[in-house]
Amino acid sequence: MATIRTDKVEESPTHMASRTQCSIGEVHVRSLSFSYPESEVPTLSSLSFQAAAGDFILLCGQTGSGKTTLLRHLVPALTPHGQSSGQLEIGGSVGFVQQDPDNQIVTDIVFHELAFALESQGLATQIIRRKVAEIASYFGLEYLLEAKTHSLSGGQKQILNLAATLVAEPDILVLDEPTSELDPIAAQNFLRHLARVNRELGTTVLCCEHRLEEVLEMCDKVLLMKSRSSSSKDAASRAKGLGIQSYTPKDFVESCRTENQNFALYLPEPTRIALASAEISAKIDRYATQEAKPETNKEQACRDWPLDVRSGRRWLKSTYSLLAQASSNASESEATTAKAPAVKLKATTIPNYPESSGRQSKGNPSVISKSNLSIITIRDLCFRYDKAEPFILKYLNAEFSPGQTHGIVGGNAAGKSTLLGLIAGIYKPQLGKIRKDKNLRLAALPQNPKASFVCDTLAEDFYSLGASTSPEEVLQIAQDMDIVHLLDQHPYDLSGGEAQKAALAKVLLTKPDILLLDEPTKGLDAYAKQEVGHIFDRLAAQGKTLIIVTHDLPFAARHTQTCSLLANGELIAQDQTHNFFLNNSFYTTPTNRMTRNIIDGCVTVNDALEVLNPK
Amino acid sequence: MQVGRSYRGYSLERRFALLHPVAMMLFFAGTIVISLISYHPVILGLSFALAAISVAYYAGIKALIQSLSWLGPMLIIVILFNTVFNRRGATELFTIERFQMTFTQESLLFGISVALMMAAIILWFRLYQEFMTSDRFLYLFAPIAPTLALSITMIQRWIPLTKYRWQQIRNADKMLSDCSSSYPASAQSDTVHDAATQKSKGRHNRVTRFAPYKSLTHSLSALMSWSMEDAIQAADSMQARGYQANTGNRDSVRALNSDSDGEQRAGTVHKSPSKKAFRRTSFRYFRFISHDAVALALIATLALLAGLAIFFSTRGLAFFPIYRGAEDLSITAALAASLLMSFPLLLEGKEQLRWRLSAQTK
Repeated sequence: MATIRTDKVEESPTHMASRTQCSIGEVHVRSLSFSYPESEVPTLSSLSFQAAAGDFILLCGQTGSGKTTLLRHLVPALTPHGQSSGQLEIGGSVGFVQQDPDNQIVTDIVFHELAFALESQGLATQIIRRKVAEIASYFGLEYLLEAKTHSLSGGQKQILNLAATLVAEPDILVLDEPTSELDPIAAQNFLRHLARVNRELGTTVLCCEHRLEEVLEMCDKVLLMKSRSSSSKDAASRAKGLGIQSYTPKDFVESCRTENQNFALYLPEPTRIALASAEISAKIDRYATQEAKPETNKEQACRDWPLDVRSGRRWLKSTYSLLAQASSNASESEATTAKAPAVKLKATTIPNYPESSGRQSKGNPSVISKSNLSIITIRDLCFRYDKAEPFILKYLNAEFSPGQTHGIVGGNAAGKSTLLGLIAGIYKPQLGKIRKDKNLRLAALPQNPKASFVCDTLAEDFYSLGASTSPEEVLQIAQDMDIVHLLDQHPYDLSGGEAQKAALAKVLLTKPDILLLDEPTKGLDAYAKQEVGHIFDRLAAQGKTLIIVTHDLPFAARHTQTCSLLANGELIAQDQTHNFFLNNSFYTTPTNRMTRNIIDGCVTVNDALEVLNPK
Repeated sequence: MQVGRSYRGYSLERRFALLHPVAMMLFFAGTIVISLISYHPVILGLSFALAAISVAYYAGIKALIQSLSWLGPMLIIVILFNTVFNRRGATELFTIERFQMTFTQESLLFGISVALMMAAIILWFRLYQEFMTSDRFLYLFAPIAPTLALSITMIQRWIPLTKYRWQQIRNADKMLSDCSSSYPASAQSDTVHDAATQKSKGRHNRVTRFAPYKSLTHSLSALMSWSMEDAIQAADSMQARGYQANTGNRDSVRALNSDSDGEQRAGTVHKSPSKKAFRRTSFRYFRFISHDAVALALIATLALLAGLAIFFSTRGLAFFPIYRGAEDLSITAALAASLLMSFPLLLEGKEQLRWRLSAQTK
């Protein structure tokens, strides 16, 4: 039953992992090792895991840990060339969905794209039409059947890719970071479709994903690939780190507290808060033992890590009551030692500008003080792409003050990128004015970093900016961005985070005063996001003005000072970031939704931890 | 959000669009061939007028005006060219002594005829474009050339994608170059740089003068590498969905060629694509119903009739040396040609009439 291509075995029979088949939907990998040609270190070394039929398996690991290489081994047609050993048992046919929504689409009309796999199988026209109709109605794509594929949004394209793979009825579905190019809402939508396929069709799903917020609660098993990552400093940990470990989701969270601490950042916000507040339970423990309280409550609170906002709220309530109880007990018995938590718990409303947000915001208490300070002023801006189309921006007004980071959030196709293009001068407004200081230099970072590279190596690319780029400057900025070791590489060989930093470095070489950033966190994992965020903070500290358009609310909450919502062609609710998120009830961070009405004034994880975990 | 059909014109909602592609293709072939074979003024006038009316009806009056706006000057050039350079013909209109140029009535008439024919055919092709969408075209030609058909679809996918990438690259480049050119400190660091190379002024000028072209070539090469890089993923996606899986293993293909039960296994083939040799099939399907048969027969008859009648009755038509034979056109030829060319409009008329009648009976 397995779709096995034997031609590759014939090429190098002595160095290939043996492929056999097992019962439908199961995957057994036994001590699989693989190294690319001309590579000294193996990419995969002696990996073993298995998947039962109908499992939803999440594969995670840091960049460069060989996730993609492993996943490609499971797809017979795409097995990479190189030396491998071990055993692969794959039950049934395998469907494969890749990262980039655009590049996987082959044909021009949605209907044809869905039919592609069936056409390749040589099925009769009537059977193809029937199956396409079925899959289209399953995914709610009927109304798009006649549409041109290029007119779809990114999220629709990726769902089309999923549907076009599923139409061939694979027994196992392999996905390589399918949501990394999507905005959070589209990603959520995609993952729900994926979960539905898993639940309703019983298809085994193996998904590599760094958006754990969504996947963790829907998966059955977490496979963690330990990498020989360049970031781990000592050689000993590199050597022993290789391998793969399998956890249940709850165990995985538990392990993030102990051995896999560097993965804690990937977890959903409620889980992170609960994990980081683990000390609380220790404190409770102390008070509890003094009073000889039963252990059960504490055990429960500790082990049952919340994975989403709902369970996060439950956890918070119970922890909170335990804390209150403990502190009151303690204050009764021994007032001096138990002072700290009791005091902190009274002060549940934290000031608008917590120091923990990592910014020097205290210096500028009135962020959007009236226009005399603003660096870019937009008055009554109207814009549309075509006479026949409706206005995307309608009488938009905004002011951006210098030396700060401004966030613009909003739904899909709300016109956020268009607004950036207008500020950057790529488009001309049909009505209204954008006032910029003439002496200021603007630079924009395109959404896809690939668009900003034109040469064969990164260094060449930096020098291509013109004669004004000196080697010292390049080196300085490369050091700032921590990309010196990448200067000789081809820009396309960089990982998402590296490419983003390199593109940022290139833009910074032009010494801009104002930086326009379009979705800078797209496709980045939690670590790269944090790194990029710190760079933004640094730039703002150097006095640069940043305007960030993003879907990523937690990121905006952490790294911007003012935030505004672009909706219906207008900028609504331009406000200080903290207030902005506090006053929103739906369009806000998970932490805020989790702590709302229990602890006031928490927007970021750090805000919450400050209350729960006072130093 | 883009909804289904909105990318297509209104014309696809019309009755003519329901016609089977074979009948449709025959209509366009017949009409265009008949417009081509005859220089008779009546036929040309009919063809041009009906083409113009059809374009206006289906694609809108704006589309017609748009087409005519560039057709007009082109036709005037064709007419002028013919009149000026064609010295044949007996009836002299006037002569410019200085250049020894004689303009004849016949060459003017010939120029007008050629121009009218070109205009008619271009307008018919405009209508063809409106109805012969890629899926109809591919339905007709995929069985004959499946690889070509797939290539065409892939190119149609590739063009907008490449346009989008180009836009991205140009925008990124524009932002960077805008910024570095308005960079006030650049003059200063330029002199530092140039002092080292000992070519201060000239080099700087050359850099700025060629900068736009340099950035354009850079962008082009970036577009190339981006497209090629991403084409690998497209190829992976095709392979993962079983493209050419049947040719992946020659031995099994050979074994299967001797297999006799190919047809019976069609249902189970999706489970084992590598086990069977087959051709790529196509999802495209247009049912050929009785209406299509009637329409096809009508079009074929009219086209044949018109073609033959025009051919035989206008054999005497000649432009040079004296324009003659224009009065020979038979009634049959004119009638058949006009019926054929107004076939889509008649179809719509019939539809309209039926609506009216059914509305009255209610």
